[in-house]
Amino acid sequence: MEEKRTLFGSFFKEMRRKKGVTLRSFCLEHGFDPGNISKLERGIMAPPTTHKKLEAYALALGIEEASDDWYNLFDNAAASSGVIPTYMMNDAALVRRLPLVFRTLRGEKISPEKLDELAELIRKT
Amino acid sequence: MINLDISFLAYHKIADIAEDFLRENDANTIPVPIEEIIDVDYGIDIIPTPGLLSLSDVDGFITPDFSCIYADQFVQEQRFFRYRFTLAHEIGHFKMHKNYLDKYPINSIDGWKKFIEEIDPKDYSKMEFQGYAFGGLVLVPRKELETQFDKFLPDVMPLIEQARSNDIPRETP
Repeated sequence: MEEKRTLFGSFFKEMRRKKGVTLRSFCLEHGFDPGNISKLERGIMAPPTTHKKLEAYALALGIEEASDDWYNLFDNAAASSGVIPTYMMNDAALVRRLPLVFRTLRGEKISPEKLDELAELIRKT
Repeated sequence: MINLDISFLAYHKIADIAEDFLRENDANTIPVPIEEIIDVDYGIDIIPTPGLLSLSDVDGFITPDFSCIYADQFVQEQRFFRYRFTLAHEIGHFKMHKNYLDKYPINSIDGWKKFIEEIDPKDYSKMEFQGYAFGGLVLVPRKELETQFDKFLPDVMPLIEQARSNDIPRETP
């Protein structure tokens, strides 16, 4: 299940990085929302189901029509669809993401209550 | 109190680490392609995070497994230079503090909160200072700064002379 969930996103990320383009500049160039594309790449948002949208992604990634990569993208989208929405970061995964070092603008410690809110924000992002 | 025994690093030592980082990544151009190095070359996910700054007063952080950098989405989109500095600062933790942090695995949310609460402030300050210094030294490489200084000084000298001859103080209110 885990593999299927991340299949599309991993392939998408691999193709983008193969082009040597950062997530931010990729989104800026093609008018995509970086938050959504990040979620897509990390497998926490389902890939689109429409051919038109997938085609737009494929072209933005510089994938040649009817190439192996083209079919891989569509196949991976089909394999990942419907699997992702059930995913929710569990505590074990969350703990690996919690920052040990972070600087606040005012140089003050964050209260325990704010730390809880920060943990939930990371879980949801 | 949690003590990580973070080493003191002299500024010139941090400059050496920053120069090694630039050399290792063939970063010979200005602006230094810090985002490309992190995202494309290192394969670290830069995750746009709406509301991070407003919630926690934090504009970015690197995860303990060094696989992701969370960056406030507003800062990323609207404060680009600050965003670049955040990336350079966070990758400084990766270069300089990974070995220390790896020795303190966190296993629960409560354990994380305890770590934040009890870490020796001196260790914390050292890591943050070193991160700041590294960030600046990576984005403004010493050699490039010297080159630019030599290049533009002749253009600026007449203005300096003019200021001196008119008794304009170095620090003006």
